[in-house]
Amino acid sequence: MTEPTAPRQPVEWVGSDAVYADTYRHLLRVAFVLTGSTQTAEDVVHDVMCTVGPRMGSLDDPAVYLRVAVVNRCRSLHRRAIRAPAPEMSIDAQLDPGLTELRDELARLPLKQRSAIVLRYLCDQSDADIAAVLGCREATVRSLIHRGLKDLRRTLSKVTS
Amino acid sequence: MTSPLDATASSSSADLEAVLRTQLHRLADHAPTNVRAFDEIVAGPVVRRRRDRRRVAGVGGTIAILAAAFGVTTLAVSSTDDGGAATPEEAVIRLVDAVESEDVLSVLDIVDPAEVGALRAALVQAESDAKRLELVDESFRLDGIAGIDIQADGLQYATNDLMSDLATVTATAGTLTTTVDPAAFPFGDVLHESADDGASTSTVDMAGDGSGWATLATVRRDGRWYVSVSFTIAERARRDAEVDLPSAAGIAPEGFTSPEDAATALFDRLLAGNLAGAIATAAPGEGDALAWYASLWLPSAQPVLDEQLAAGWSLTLHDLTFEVSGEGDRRMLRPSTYVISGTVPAGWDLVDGRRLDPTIDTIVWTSDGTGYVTIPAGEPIPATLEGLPVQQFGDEPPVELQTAFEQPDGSIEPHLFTDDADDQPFEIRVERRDGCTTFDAGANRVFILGSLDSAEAIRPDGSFGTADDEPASADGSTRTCGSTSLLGLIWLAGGGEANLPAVATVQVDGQWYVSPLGTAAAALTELLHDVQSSDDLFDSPIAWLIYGTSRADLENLLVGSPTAQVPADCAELVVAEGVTITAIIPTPTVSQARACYGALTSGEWTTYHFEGSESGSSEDPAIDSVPATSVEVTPATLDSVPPTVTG
Repeated sequence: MTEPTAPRQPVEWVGSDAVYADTYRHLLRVAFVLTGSTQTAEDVVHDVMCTVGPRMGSLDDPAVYLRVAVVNRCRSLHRRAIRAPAPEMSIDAQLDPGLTELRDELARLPLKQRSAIVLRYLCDQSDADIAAVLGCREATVRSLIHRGLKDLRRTLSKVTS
Repeated sequence: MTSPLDATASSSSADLEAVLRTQLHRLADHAPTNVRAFDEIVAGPVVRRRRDRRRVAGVGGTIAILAAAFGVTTLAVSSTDDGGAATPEEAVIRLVDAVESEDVLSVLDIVDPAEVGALRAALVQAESDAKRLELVDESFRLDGIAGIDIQADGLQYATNDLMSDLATVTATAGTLTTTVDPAAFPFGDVLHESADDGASTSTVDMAGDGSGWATLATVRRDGRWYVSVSFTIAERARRDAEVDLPSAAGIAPEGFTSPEDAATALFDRLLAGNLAGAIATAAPGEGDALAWYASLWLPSAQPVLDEQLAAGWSLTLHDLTFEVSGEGDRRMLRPSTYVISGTVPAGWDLVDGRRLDPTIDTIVWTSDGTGYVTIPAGEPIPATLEGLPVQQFGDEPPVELQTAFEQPDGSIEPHLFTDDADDQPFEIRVERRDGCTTFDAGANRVFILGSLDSAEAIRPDGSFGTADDEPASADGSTRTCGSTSLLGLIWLAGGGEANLPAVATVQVDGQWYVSPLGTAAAALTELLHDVQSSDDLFDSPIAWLIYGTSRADLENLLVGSPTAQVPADCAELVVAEGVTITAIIPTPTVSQARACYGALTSGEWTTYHFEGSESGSSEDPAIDSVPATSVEVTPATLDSVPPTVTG
């Protein structure tokens, strides 16, 4: 159910169009890997931009802030899906068999583990940065990644072999 | 950046991480690439999701009704003039109807206005902390808890007028059906992975098994009837005690000029053994039940306290300061600094188990936990167990026994027989400062702080170390800074720490009073409030509520054991050095912890572990040095504390 309200005042992106496009695509990549769905990834990034966009000028580092917002948005969707399982999330991307297996294995990880894995190995974030995003200790991040890697080991071993 | 696989694994770990990095980027390459223009996004209409209305909920029976009823107070602005009901029965009917029909304002209107504020403050605090700790997610709302439904069928009521403004209403027939659907409950990240999938329904027959909870007390305020929590509790206690209603007038409330003065008066009067004075600090209205029903139990309780005071109890409170929170007419005061000093009569150090009854046998447990030595009644406790016959588990111990413990160095924990004890009162001093509580040697004779893992002893140089590292302090003082549930219980649930409990206060007609319901609720909500983050839950006093166990439990059972003996369900939880378990991982999941504890307390593991320890057949020497706590497998959390004197 939606409730439209009045249009917002335009706000300018602080930076070049190229940077904006790169940032947007990076957010799409993060959201896609976290959710496994192109449609959901687009919705997530769009929602985040709608929410954060008007405040963009007041942010010190919009790209980082947006990434945190995307991860949190994915976690929020995940919780909602757990509480009220609705129609299955569309698996709308055609992937190679190896990637399909990786995507499915990622989807089986608890979302906090999955987020830690994605932030570390897709976004090259440090333990401290990941801890800040996930709201936990750095030691917890290491534990999350350790457990996530352990679960993914079988799939990754197939790739290496 | 250090590889997280470095600690455990194989030479191909770095390769696997590299592969994962590559594969994740390959996967991300399939992400959509359609970039929407920034102007288009921020200038477009805002599409805001409207929250779906959730079904109202409760937990079960009267508790469920009350929980839902109080829950809605979090959203309420105030009680309306036409709140309440014309009769006691109508008040209860409206309460039940309101829960069933999700009519939150009606539920609010039917609870005693004097109690709503205290309950609202506690629930707001608990809800906030539960979300912060990820026990429930952000969609959780006290005015509509998804996943739980209540339905009342055929309820019939009987009203009993106790006083002109007090009546009880009892459900004499009908059923209350509660359906719980964990899949729909908004569990937070900590709990949702462990939630059961299936919904369950339970029905309480008000004329049968539910009859004990079927009576609610109602009070009349300004001509309208309301359901009262405090009178319901008091009436339940009175009926269980089978005593008549109080005939005397209640204790008159005494107001103070500030919240701090009210809370300080409460502590001062409790320490002085002045129960009536402590009750007088309770707010009028909210404390009416406490003040009035006090005449039923004070005449028997006060003489017991007076007797102890005459025997030598004399404690005073100094330098009390608070951390104050809240606004409007309510404040929560958490003691931040204070000194309690005075004398305690002889005999109160019995709790540390150092006195033994010479007329019964004494069991001395060996330090490795594999057996015990029986010291017959009347014989002195020896210096060591050397040369004495050690009995193994499986032998039938004497029914009437008391226990002592052999220390790792071979000595036996010093014990005194009753006749040897010093019968003089002794001085104690407890000081709270900088978030830590220091107990001097005298206080340690009363409190069993020294046996707690988090206790720290003062070293000769004045620094502090953990009790395990430095058990013998220069002057016998110890302090604790972390959560110590056992001591928290001793301090009447003082926030789970070795601290005085938080006190809720309320302003009525310009005077400040203690809020009894708010303070009682705080004893529970502070347990949540004191946990810093969800990562600390496993180390907190409420761990057993969530995990069914705790870090201390699992460490007692596992640390020091050989990895070869670890049940499969615990394999992911333990940290090992070589072949010996040294710790539990920082943040196990609830499922992991429950499964591990279940495996450890199952008969299979216990038998296996005993056999492994006793056979001595392992080539690994660590197997033969399993500590006592790894063998004493007990099902309850607090049972991990070694057995104390019985008989």
